[in-house]
Amino acid sequence: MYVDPGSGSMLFQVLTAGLLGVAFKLRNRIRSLFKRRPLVR
Amino acid sequence: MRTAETQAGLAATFRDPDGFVVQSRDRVFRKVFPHGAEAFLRYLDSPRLQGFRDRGALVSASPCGQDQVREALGELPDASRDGQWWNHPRVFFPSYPWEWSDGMLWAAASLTLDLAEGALKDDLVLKDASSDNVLFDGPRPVFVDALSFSPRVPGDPIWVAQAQFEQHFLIPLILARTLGLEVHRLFRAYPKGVSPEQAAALLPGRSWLERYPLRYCLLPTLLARRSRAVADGSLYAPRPAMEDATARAILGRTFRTLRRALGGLAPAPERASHWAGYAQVSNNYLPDERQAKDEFLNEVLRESAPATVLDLGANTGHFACLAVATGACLVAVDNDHAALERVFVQAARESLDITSLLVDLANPSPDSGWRNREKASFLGRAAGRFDLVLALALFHHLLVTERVPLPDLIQWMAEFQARHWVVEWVASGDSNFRQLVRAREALYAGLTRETFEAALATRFDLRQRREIKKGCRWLYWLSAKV
Repeated sequence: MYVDPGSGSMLFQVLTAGLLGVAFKLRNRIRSLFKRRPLVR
Repeated sequence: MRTAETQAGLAATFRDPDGFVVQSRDRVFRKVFPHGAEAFLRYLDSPRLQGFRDRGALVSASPCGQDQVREALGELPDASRDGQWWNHPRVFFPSYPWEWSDGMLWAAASLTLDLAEGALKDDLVLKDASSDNVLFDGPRPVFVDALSFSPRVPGDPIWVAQAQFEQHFLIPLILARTLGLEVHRLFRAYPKGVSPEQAAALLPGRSWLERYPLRYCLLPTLLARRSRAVADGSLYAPRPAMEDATARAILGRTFRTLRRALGGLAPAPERASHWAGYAQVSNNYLPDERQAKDEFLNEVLRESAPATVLDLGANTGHFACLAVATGACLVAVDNDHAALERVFVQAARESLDITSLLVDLANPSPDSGWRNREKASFLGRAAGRFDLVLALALFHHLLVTERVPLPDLIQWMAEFQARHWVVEWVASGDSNFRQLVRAREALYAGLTRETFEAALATRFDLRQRREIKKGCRWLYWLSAKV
């Protein structure tokens, strides 16, 4: 790959991806918690 | 060793390690090296990308043999290395971002983002999102770099070409809006787009309160300056892969954010510039004089039947539309952004074969790039390309405002190598002429219609002449002397 990835922009992307990655994992965990709980009528 | 110039002196691209491109007059030939073959085949097989190719938004490719290449180019470049030759159709008139209106840059950006998103769905990555990869075929943007796609690495949440996309598209649009500039002027100074650091240096203090300047220019610059990962290069080290579903979700969100930003940066509808208003008001022509001008042009179009037309000083494109109505393909050139944007918008809306470009004919784009051979000048691209050139209400600007000597003007005309010209002569009594001259009539006393006709006769035969506005404006149909 010969394209210059750009330092400032790349840093922003890495930080955002990192935060989002954590957020997605948390969201999936919370969702799976709800799925196991039986529906309360 | 691969070089930027073939044995016979043809320019070849050289930056891509996976292949290179050489052009003939009508086709583009691409050699793909063995290590780039897999990516190229994935590009050809991708159904989503095929959809773009069917619409004419992405360049198609067909394999070709070495003999075909040798015949078209007169030689077989880089013959000693392995690789497969392909050919692509050529876009009629290549152009560069320093010749595009803001709307054209925006359309190119939108296509690039569409392609990046479409490629992701077929597990491909658009790894090169520079504005150099887009050309205009009439009003439609076409992405021409077929080697910009490569197979995606699973688990990677970063779009590697995002910085390039921001630099070539988003940041110029941001600066244009904040600084009140036209993007083509920025590209003359920054041909490879504007980096966040460069933009941050240009933006006023209040930009810290504005969403797009903050997110794409100021924050990246601030972060980069304070980051150790940037300073020691560890930012670019390969990261441990995450779960691919998460990575794809992050990429999807990235594309949505960029699309919203692009939407927010769409160029505002053009306020009437002096020239855009000129065509409408046009107090310089009475209705039957306008009609006479239209009739003259239609007659020339009928009798000369040009396939390709160049309209110099196209204004809002009234005469360009007359020409394309006969089936010709046309390049419309003007110096005024608002007028040209109107031509572009109309051509896009009505699917007219008009490629609109911003060119200052007194200072057109030069040869540029490495050894000034990567990107040809406007005049270099135009020479020999057109059957008919229109220069309506143009020459008095060059002769009076730019003070181009008359013999030079004729020489310049000849260098277009066009068979036919339609030229409008504006005499010194005309109100527009007097506006340009601004009471320096003595300077232009020698510039009479007779001197003009005598100068033309050195290079052109006069086919027809008509007086359109009594004592003020004449139209000429000229044929180049063989």
